[in-house]
Amino acid sequence: MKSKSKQEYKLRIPSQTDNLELIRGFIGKVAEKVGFNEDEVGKIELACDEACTNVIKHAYADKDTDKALDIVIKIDYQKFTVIVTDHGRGFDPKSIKMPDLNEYLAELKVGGLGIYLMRTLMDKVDYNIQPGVRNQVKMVKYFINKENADLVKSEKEV
Amino acid sequence: MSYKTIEVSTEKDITIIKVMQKRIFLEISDQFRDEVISVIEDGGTKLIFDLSQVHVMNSSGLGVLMLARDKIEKRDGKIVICCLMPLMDEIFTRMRFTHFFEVTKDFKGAIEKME
Repeated sequence: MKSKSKQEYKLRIPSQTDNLELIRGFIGKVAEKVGFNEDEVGKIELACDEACTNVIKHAYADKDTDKALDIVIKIDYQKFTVIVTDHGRGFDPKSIKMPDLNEYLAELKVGGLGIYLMRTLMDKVDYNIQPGVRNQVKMVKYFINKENADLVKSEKEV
Repeated sequence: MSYKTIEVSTEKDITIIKVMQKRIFLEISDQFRDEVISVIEDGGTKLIFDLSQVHVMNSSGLGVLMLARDKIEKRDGKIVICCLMPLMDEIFTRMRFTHFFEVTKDFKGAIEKME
């Protein structure tokens, strides 16, 4: 992978289900451009799709389709960061924990799977929630090999 | 909608659902769910999901698999998933879906699990 200078890419788009493909395309193309392999690009696209789906389905509850969804990709020598911002209904980030999949399967709490998937596919996921004002999800993928990424992840979880 | 997300066939008493879309995201997950549920409601207790064409599936697609599992198990049936592509295989492992679904590498293995 080539060394990377600081770069930033932005997309502002109406929060509509029809636009998810455009969003995945935008994020996927940038991830590909900076040298992630096909597998990693797929993971980044999927994690970001989940974040944007949550905004469309929950923050704007499928109603405020004219409201904007802002996506910013920041790249530096170390990491690829995607920040998804909305201005809809937020949630308490403290209530989000890695769920017990048994419970999810038993109760079919399908919506929560998206958050679980985001945390599973990215190296780091942070929330900055101010309901009705600004909600942000920040997802990070490091430019390092898988073993090191797992190490970063395990260090983070300690 | 003019296309289907799945193709359905049978082998003896086994129903086989082959998912025909490379990518299952929110845009088609409702259609995917409706088509799968309609097959399950037609009866049968042995179901194989052939995911050989699926590169990636988001949580709404994975939720459909969970729903199918729930409905089949309530009938004391059996569900096997086969032919995972690399990213799907990784998602299944990381999400620990392999603890809740019988997964086989190939279609032949899925049939053998049913017999």
